[in-house]
Amino acid sequence: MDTDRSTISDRDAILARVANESARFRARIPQLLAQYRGKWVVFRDGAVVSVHHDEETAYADGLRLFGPAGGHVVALVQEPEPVLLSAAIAFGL
Amino acid sequence: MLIIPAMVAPYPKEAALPGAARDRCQVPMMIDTGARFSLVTDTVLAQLGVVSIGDADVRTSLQSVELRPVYRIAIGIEFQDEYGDSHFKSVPLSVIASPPVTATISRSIALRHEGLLGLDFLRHFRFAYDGPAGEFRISW
Repeated sequence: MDTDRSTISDRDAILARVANESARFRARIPQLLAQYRGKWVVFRDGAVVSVHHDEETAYADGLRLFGPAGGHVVALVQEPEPVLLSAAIAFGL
Repeated sequence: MLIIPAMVAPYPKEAALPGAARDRCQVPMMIDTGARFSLVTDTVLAQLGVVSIGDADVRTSLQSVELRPVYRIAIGIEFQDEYGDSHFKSVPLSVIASPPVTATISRSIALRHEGLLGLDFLRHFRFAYDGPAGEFRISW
């Protein structure tokens, strides 16, 4: 896929790539914690591309480096913890 | 139950894939002070042509945890100040994608909304609920 020329018709493929990249990120969390705990990272092709102190800067850098169709992940390096959304969702209110 | 109109858009504009159906959407969203994070439905996110930046483990009930995509978008609301002047304030926010959501007001009334505005959104505003008057006020 040529990410520079991607359009809305490529969206499903890009989402699948992000999901795969996210799975690779999760698998690498135990190793990443030693060096990047508490940091925001841009992660692509199984590796950390850049490291940041906050989400906004990491997000902007990922977009600058790879564009919207880059398939990269922007994530906080921390132990995975399920997020409790809300009772409204849990109970279908 | 409080449902208000909110404007959702790609953040920044360049984050949208070319050819998206909409460059912004005004959608009904439910204010949920019991939610740490905000949600937007997959339907709206697809219309905006935005792409996820990862995912999150979401506990959808006491028994189940699901992996849901996370998107960074802009969400804005219009409000009036104490002088009656209208203002629009938009904030960048990482939201969790959700399936279509329906709020059940009663057994016979179901009100569709397109997501939740949680505390991550509300922390950018002053939100006051006047119980005796049955009114709420949002300001910035």
